[in-house]
Amino acid sequence: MTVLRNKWILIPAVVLVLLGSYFLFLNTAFTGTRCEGARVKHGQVPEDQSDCYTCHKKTTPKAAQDWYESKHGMILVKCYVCHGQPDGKGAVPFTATPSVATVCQRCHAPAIDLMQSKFGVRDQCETCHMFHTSSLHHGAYGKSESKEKFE
Amino acid sequence: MAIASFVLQMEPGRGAEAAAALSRVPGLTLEFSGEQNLVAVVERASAELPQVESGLKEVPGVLCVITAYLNIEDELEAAGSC
Amino acid sequence: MNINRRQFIKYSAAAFAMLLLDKGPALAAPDQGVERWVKGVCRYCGTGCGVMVGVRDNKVVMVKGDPNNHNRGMLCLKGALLPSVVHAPDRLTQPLIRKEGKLTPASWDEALDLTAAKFKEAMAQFGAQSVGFYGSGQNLTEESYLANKIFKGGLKCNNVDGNPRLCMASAVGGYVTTFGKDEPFGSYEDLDAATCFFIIGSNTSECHPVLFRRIAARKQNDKNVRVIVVDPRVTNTARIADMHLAIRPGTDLALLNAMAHIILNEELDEPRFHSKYAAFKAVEDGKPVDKTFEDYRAFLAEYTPEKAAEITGIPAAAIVKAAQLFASSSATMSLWCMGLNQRVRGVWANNLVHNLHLLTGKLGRPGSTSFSLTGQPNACGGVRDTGSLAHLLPAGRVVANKDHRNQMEALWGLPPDSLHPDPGLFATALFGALGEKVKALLVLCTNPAQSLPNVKKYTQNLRHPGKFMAVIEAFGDAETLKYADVVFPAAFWCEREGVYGCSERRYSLLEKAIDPPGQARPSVNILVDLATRMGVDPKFVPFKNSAEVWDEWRTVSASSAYNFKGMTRERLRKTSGLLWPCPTEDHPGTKIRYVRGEDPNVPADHPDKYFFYGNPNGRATIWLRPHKPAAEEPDAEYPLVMTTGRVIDQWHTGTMTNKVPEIRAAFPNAYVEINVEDAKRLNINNGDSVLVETRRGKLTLPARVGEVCRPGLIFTPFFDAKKLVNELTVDAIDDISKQPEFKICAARIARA
Repeated sequence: MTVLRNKWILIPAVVLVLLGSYFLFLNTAFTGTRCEGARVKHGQVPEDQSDCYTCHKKTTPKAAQDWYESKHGMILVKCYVCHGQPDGKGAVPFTATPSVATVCQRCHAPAIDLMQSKFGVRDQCETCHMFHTSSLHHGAYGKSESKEKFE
Repeated sequence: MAIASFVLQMEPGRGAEAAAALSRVPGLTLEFSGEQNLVAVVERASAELPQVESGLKEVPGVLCVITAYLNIEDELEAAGSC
Repeated sequence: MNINRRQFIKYSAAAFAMLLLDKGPALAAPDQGVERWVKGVCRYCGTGCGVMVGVRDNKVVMVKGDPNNHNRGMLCLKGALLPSVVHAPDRLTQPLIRKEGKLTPASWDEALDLTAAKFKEAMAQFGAQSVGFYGSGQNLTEESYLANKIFKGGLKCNNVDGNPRLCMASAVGGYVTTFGKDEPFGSYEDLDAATCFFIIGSNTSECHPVLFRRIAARKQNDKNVRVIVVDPRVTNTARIADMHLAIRPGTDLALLNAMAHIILNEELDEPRFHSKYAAFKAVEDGKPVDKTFEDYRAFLAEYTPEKAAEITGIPAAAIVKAAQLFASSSATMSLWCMGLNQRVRGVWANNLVHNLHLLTGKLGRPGSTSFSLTGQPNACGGVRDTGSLAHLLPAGRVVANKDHRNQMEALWGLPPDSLHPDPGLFATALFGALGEKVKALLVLCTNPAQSLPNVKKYTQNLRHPGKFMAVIEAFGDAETLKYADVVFPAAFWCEREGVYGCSERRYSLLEKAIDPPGQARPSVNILVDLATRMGVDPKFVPFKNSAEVWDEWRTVSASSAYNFKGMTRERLRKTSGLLWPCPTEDHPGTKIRYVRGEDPNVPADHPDKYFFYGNPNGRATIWLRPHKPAAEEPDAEYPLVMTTGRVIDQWHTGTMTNKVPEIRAAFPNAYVEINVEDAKRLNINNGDSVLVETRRGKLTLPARVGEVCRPGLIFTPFFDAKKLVNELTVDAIDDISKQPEFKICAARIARA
């Protein structure tokens, strides 16, 4: 039993087993209350569908569609750029409300400065400019009247 | 509906004051209250969570709010398919 | 205890939160604790966005857009996620030497001496043309200029080429043959003024996202703006298009000539412009001959909309409409990229776009310009302008011209007629000769073992026992390292200082933000050290840092139309980039070239508004270029066309983007995109494993079935080192630019 004597192998192994059993338990124990459409859980996504949008079109269709039609969707600022990845391995924290200081600021620093000088310090951009559903974003670039149909 | 847990960092000695304010937030249960930290679990529609989070920051004595765990159970459930 | 899923999740949520509690102080500082912001340029594409690099404890913790650069603070997905790349775990931190087949750590002296000895040995035995340098559009300008000077001036070897041969060479050919000088006419500011965008062979949305945002914003602000997208795929770029023309690959020349035909036929041309500023030419028996407007009209006669429709697969009415929109708008801007450049007739395709602008006079006024987009951050400034290609010398000079060589000899303090008079080997020829004619090669900051076309053919050369290859590289997992004999660890991106020049002739300084890891060194210092050990006179390369190289290059440029003598290091530190020509320190830079009052190369008292000083007759050239198909058209055996390209998440060969955990999780694998009709016929479903086969190789890739590709076309991205898509591509090259036709080859697919 040489393996057991080395606690640096043992500790991660125990953590892995515990985490694994937690998610296994979570996904098998409460079958009666599982949601439709949310069959795939974070961390179990097949590799060819690992793009967040592929699943969230089905699981959170409204949020996904709002993003798709928004400015961020149009210019392909994808989910993980602001919300991070569920595995939490990246630099962007996995959260529903991205931090102004670490996420929004990367592109919108000039706008944030302008807003702060106009209206004082607010804790969240999202209070006024809802990331997905604000009219500022919703249907962006779709309002142009130049969309004619050409055969 | 969605479930989120928040870590609230407090100014020292104002925990009780904040706990009283937090008890009035619908869907919120206080799972832990320590010297400088509180842990709150909130169950609300996912669209309302951002407001809940910014609301938490307004609670007297709160320095900083960290979203610790988020399980968005998605809109489908809210529509009654669950 | 009775507990349901909801309560269980709640308890878990609380438990997770508790786990974080003892990390209190770290959580109280959610803004990454940036100590200082350092100005720089994004490491990725040719858009060249300005960035501010946030540093804490000698680490890059955050990157945000530079509000004073052209991107106005905006970044794309890749730029925003740059910090993870810098501190990737597999950065190279010490020199490596291949011993018994394995790269093993060595000292700097050992690695430098071995490399210098191998180069000297090759040159002594086989002459100066038996060595070579292969650079990159990602090097700093100083690095490219220096390597070019060392090899062409110091070693008298013209085998200096680089990966811009694979991406920009046709655009260079197009600009030089039409306007007389390389590099675009206008600037990014034209994007804010154009009323019609003609985007052909560019998926701007995924390859130049910040410029695409600017086009989309322009369209949102003015509802009269029209966007025409010509692309065989319905890309994300097409989402803002008023017209999407799903062209059959390899038929762009017919479409562009047909548009010219329609413009003349409907009298939408601008005779005041083209009769005064354009000359008509054609190539006959290998020589350019003068033509007249009437010759041109006669030449175009066969390119009727109906015939073009037959060739291109685009309805005739749509071609007519596109030509009308192009010619009748108040300001038209054309944008193109690899779709036109990576073609066996890439230079011709570039010429034909310029033709449309010259015919309609849509040049030299705000919003009216023909603008080539560049793929790499410093292909323009670093490689094209410094002349770091096998046939070029600095600032638009060419090796084959004796006067040009003599000018450079004088500038570099060399004896007259000492530079080698023949152009060296271009990219594919250089690798094709490796181990045979070329014995020793230095590769700087690029990954040819993944990015060359028909790459299996060239990996045979890379494996050749008679070759020696030293690679200066930052990342340990680059495919090319498998074949390297010596590897030098390079300082990456903001770990050293230097200049990047983007698509719009803008030079911006990338300032040093942090120290390189381990023993990694700036490439300028590696090159100087290597050169002196190879026997180059130390007085010929007296540079201690990149600032000294810049000062020499700035002075050298003064004798040319590129003149940016006014861009001192000090000035570049203060500004977020300047556009050349910029001859004096008080010159603001040039937004529009060849126009009196704008371009300092046009005399203030020049009688005409436009002056194409790069051409002896002072006019731009409208070329009569007939339609020619691709090198490898589909046939009964290989009935589909395969094309390759980028996706927004990944960049080039993925050595950088795959270091970003968010990207690696979201977009790790290559795929093959297939049209629904083809998929149905071949019984392929979304996600199925598909065997893609060309005459050069085969690969198994997961299928993405949809309507993005036109029927008969398949698309695969080339970033995935696990699936070397370039084993399938064809290495046929453009006669003029020597750029390979990555974009088109014949393929067949079947369920694997």
